[in-house]
Amino acid sequence: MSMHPENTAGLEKDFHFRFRYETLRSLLDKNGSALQILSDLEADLNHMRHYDRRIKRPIQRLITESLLMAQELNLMTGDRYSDLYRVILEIRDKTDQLFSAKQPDAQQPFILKLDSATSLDPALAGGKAAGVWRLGNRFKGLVPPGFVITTAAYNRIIEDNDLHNRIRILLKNLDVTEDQAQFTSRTKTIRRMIREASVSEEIKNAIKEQAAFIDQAFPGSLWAVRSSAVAEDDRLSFAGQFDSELQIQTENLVSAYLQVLASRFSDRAVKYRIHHHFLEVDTPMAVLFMPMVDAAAAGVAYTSDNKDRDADTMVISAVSGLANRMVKGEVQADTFLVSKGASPKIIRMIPAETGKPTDYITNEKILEIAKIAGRAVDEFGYELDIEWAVDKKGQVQFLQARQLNVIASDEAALFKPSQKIESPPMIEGGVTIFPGRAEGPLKFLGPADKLSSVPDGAIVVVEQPRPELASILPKIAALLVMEGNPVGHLATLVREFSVPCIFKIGQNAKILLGKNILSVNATKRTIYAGIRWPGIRERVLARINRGNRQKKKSGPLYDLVLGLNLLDPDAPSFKAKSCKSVHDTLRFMHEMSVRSMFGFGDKQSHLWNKKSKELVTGLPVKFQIIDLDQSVPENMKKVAPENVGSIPFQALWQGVSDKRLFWPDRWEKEMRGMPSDFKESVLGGDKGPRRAKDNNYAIIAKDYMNLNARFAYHYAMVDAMVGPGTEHNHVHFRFRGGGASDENRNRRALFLERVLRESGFGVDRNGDLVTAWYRRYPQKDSENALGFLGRLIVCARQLDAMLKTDTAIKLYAEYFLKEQFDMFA
Amino acid sequence: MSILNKLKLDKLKKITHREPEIRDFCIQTIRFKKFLENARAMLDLIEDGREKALGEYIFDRHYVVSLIDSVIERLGMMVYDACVLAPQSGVELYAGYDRHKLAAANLISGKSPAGKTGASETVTLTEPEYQLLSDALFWLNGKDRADAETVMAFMKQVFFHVIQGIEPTDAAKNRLLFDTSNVKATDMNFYIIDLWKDALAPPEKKRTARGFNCVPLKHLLMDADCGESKTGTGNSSSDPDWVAAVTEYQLSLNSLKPDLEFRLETLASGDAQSDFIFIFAGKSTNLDSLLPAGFHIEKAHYGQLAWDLDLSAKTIEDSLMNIGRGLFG
Amino acid sequence: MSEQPLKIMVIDDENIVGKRLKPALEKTGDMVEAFEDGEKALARFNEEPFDIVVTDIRMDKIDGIEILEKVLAISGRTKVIIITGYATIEIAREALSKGAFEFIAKPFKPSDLRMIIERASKELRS
Repeated sequence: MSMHPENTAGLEKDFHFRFRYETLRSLLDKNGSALQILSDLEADLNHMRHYDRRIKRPIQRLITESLLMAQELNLMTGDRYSDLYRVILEIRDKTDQLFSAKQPDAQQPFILKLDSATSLDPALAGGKAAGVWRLGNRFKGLVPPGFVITTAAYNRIIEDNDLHNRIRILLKNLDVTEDQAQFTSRTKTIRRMIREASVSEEIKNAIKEQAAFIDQAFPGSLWAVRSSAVAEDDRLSFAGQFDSELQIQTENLVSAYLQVLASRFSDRAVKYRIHHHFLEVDTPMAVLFMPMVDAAAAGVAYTSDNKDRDADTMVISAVSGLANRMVKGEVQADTFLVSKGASPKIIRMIPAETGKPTDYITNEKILEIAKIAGRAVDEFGYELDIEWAVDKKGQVQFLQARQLNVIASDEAALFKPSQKIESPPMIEGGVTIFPGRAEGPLKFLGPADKLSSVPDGAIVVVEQPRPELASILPKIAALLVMEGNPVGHLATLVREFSVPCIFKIGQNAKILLGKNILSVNATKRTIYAGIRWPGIRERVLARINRGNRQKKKSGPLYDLVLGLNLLDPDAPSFKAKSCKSVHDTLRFMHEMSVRSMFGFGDKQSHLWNKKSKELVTGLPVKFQIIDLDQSVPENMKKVAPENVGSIPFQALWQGVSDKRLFWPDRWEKEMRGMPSDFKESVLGGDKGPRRAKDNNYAIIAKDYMNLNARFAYHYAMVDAMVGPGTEHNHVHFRFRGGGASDENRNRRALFLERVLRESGFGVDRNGDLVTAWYRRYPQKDSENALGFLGRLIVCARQLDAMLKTDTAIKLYAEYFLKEQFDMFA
Repeated sequence: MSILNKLKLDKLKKITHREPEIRDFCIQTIRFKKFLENARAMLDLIEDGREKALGEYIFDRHYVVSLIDSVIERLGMMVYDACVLAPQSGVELYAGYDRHKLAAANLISGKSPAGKTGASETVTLTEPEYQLLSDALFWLNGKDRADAETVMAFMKQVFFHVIQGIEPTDAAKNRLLFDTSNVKATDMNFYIIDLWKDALAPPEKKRTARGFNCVPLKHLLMDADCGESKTGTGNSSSDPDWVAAVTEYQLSLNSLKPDLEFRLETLASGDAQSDFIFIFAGKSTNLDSLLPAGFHIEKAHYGQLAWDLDLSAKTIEDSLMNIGRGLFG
Repeated sequence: MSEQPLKIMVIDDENIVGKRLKPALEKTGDMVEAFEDGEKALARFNEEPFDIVVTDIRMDKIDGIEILEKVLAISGRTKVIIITGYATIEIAREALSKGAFEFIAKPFKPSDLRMIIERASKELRS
């Protein structure tokens, strides 16, 4: 290699260019793997505490990567963003402080007894057991003996069987999957893994010993093994979410225990946690073991009548024998309304079936229960939902007590409608389970009908209440039940999901069949055909969507690491100093590195322009190609797509140029009018004069492509590395859509999220910014992914017109996945 | 100074000479640590390939192609880091890198020359994937490879470029910086710099070398004589001889003595898969007596390079104590 | 400890896998049959269910997931172990969620596979 001065200068310039490119590559590479770490961290924090050593490492690694990225960005831009250093160093400082915060004690007991002198810690024993202890401690003899296998034992079993990792894999992305079959298959697998888990000798022995000890006092007893979850019996109860195992023989206690643990992953329970944004790590399960009461009668007592809060009454439901079938809604109970106070009296008795005698229990017994319940309320300080039993000797036992859910009434439901609509209600009467008004399409759900057939926002009518209905509660407008127990699991759940609901509307509800839309006033217990109140539909939808929208997670680690505050790159607040989290810095740096590459106002950009070639194609797109390693023949200044010797580019182009796609005239016009649109859509004002030529760029090399397309108000970025190996193949995609309203943009983002996930991408959606990745797949798969993206970018353009409703999202996603591109014309 | 160097140094000036801040020193040190991590990963890859070739492993062609791919990826990362640390060597480094990229592509596409394989192999190479692995290993670290250099040889070159690149700019300029930043240790002849905290703000309180929360430093100084300074009191009138840049588990130790060229880099986190000790020394330093067994020592005309990657938690503690005794005992 | 020999089926369209695994696994006295053709393997499995099935995940004619499903449909107690050349999380998830016992990534030593088989046989016996 001769060192002629001209050569040297040439070499230097080439090296200069090369170094800049390599800096960009390094930065983009780091960004890609950082996003992956972030996504894994999010999943991890579902299962681990922030001080867990396994969390600390990836976070420190992440911060180091972003510091180096900051250096690279500054190298590219002549040190323009040195503010970033301080931001990142401060984040590191704060996370270090978090990690050195004191950790709780390692070893905690696996077993706690109900007759323990000290109160049971609900974090260890679960809410149910803690409540039961309290009852037994205050009222001697009221509660059967028993013991709790704690959450520490649960955690130990999870650890020993390496379940946390396997469960985590199976639960990943479950919150967005609406594929019922996949959901059930996954939860089924988790349940199987738990049932087959091995239990340490320590835990087994604890169970055996305590059971034997209690057996001495109650020989030959069968056992009740019940869940006592953390967060259960707090404000939000997990009513009916978990199974109890009843009538268990002593030798089968361990397998019953595992069975109850497995029920933590029933479809209902998993959906419940997801809906309420409970983290796995926050909701471990303890299990309560109590000998069964030989019940003559059993039931539930609500110390306050939800229907009519001002009245001073208690509601006591009773059945003969055990209460569990009543609670599940399988059997009707007799209902007693009892006055509160020191001398309770039975005000009214509503039998389950007229004429059926209530000879299994006397009025005196009911009053005795009411008295004790009243004293329990004084003890706890709040209204209670109590499960009781009376044994064959007449002894009253309380088996469970939890806080009764207090409901907020919907005042508006009591207002008169502004328009006078004369038609009378089709149905009146029943029992209000939860007040409020609703409007929506009618869906009769027979016992054989699939829950998945219930559309969003429907008013569902069923004959009997079933706890499985819980899984549709988040998405329906109202629930009407023909028969049904006002106490019982489903009722409790209805209240928690705040779904307007009436029970006992009677068999003649069948006259509703054939009606399309219903309006329901659950407060007044009236049901009308047709639309009755303006504005109610929107409120219903808002309630449903509120549940579905991702709740903003918080916590110190979220704020410092995961949270994304910097959403809009065009906003003036999009600055280094505004970055609060690691995620912010990554977003910022990526955006700035790409901009710097396109050199708005940057002196070095003319280098890029010199090297760039125009892509010539029949399609109405303009692209400049920047060729890094002669993937395009040197002499060509204008290039046809087939001359671009870049694997990822070719793959993407296959998708973009797919003959089945439609390119409307509208697009052509907009593309031609590029400069003005462009000015509008892009970067906030302070980046210097824009050249008319600045349009879409693709930087390519044989195995690499970084493509940035800005069209109208949209911005799409594809960064891909595809070669014969697999290890560092990646396809990254980022899309931010402009467009008229927030709603439109969100819908488009939801559409993208859906189709991308279904196609195997990892996806992160933040408002209207969608980031997706497809990493470490073989060449063929990566090429297919790029083709997919090519088609997606073209179709996404047309989406504004199509996604007018939320149901359209699902519909068009299906069309796209089935490659019915004519629907996007 | 050639135009080339001026261009590069100008650029780097912006980072390191803008204001003489501790922060820039810290960032470069962190970048150097990244470089070493990449080097370690590279050495692991080579070792992994060797292990698979020797053992009764079941693997497919995809494994070998991935291995070659990963090597090129890591090499690229190392070369990039090296360019940031030693910009004056950039052209040469990328030229070397490109040669290896080409060699890798040829291997994968099958255009590779047969190379010197077959003769010394004991395993029958009837299966193509095993042949490919053998060829790849030859490219990585084959002995007696006269025609073109191996990846390993190139790596060593890169190492030395980096060391040469960071040494001259550091020493004198940094002394001034450290003296004014309150990072002198009170108990030993050291400058102690906390890579993350000091980058944010200079320390308010003075610190001790032994008391500092850095695991490898603690082990290194376990048996060291208190007060390397002749006076024996904490009040060292002479200039510190050592710079220790640290985090909880990392140590970057550099000699400032004019007659001792020595640098120790270590990660001692307790994770055997990532921990390492790298040592750079001048030609005249007697490493054989200083380093415990287990170190791999390479000599070249610009100096010596030694490393140990096979480190359990116990071993790394012992090694560090050993070396510490030798240096400060 | 009374231990009945296991019946193990190995399915991989790469000839070298069966060639190397069969002798390695038979060392401990288990019975191993190796197949390169997935359909033939399933036909054999239909005749006589095996305790353990070790199958590659990506094969040309019929892929590992399909084999997993068909095997479990015939014999629910059989433990299926997936060999994957590309150890991606997606595949692990799909395999595990469909009932695979475990998966192992190439390259691996036969002794690594042996350990998984031992764990599987413990579950079979319990």
